[in-house]
Amino acid sequence: MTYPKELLPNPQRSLIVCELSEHFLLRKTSSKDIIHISTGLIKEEFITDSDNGMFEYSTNLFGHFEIEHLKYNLDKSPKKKYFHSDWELSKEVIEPTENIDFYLDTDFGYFFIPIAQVAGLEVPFKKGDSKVEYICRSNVEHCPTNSNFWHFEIRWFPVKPDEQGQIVRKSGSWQKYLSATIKARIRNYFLTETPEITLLSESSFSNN
Amino acid sequence: MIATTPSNANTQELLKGYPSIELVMDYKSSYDIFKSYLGFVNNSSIENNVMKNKIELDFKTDLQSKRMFYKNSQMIKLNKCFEETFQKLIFLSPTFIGVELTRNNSIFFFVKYSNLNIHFEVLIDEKDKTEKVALNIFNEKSHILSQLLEINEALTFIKNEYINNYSEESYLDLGLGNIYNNDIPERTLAESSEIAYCM
Repeated sequence: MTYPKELLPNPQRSLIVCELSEHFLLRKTSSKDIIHISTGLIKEEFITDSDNGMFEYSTNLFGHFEIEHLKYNLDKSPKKKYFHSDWELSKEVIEPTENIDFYLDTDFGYFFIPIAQVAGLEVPFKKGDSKVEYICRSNVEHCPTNSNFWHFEIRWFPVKPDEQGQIVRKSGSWQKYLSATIKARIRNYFLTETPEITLLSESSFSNN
Repeated sequence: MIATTPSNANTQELLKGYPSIELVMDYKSSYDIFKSYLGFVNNSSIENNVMKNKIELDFKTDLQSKRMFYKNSQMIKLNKCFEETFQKLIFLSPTFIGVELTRNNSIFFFVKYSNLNIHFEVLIDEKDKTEKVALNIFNEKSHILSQLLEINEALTFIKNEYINNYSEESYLDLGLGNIYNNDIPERTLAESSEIAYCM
């Protein structure tokens, strides 16, 4: 089986910067059994692998990227790093090969996240005993990789007091709070049924 | 959702002193029929006891299944933190409580009260003496609060801001009243209104 061409970046494609609040992110899980028996919500282990994972939270933009595409499982070993690396705009990419660069998953689950519920979330907090109030804002960003043009991440950026432009990455107690906040959003608004959407127009992601 | 019964010896040891899930479910089922016949509503002490047993069992099963992620000392701390927090949460007279032990040293409680979904995640930090709670509250459509607080602050805040007809009397027969009276300091609405809301 060949890797789907529609997933690969190509020089005719450009970064997606249009309004996406009516769209949904699609997240793959390693099991179909994603609901926790006690809470009735998504199990934490399927929202993310670790708290660090909430800071550059990896998802796919649902639409041109379909549920069927989740079965293409790329080798995550360091020697296959190329396929997970950020795509350089306008560059041609190497197509992954079955059983060498990717294999097919037969058993997986998934859920959807409404972009409107996780983008532009501003969270105030204080670091330790400091009196200074910080605010971080979440953003949903197009981060195409060499094997997935439709790769998006939820990222956090400081907006107050004056650290604009830096992505929040490190793990600490206040970062755990930011993680818990975005996880709460996902737990509260996730969908398991396929939402109806309007496909993103070709002009939204092409140079032409 | 299907409840499972832990089978190995360690789990049985951990669950000593708790009723079996079959017993709890049978009891709950019989009680539901009885309640339905009499037209009872929520919040009787019997129903709270059933819910309490179920949640304690959920936590201990979760703790057992994730024991590979924790040292013994951490498991003891988690267990203690769960017991203390859960005893306090049940005073809020929720219509639902669920609990999940995460793999990142936190205990996540999902609490429903009226039209509110309360996400109450206790973040356990080995360095901190006092556990913090990432408190996120949603009403039917909106995310109305996000705040990092100490456990007692979070509980008092919920009580003062959202639970208008709160009554201690209905919980006294669970034998938990003293814990509430001793552990949760009273705060005024003015103090709790200092807490910031997210967008």
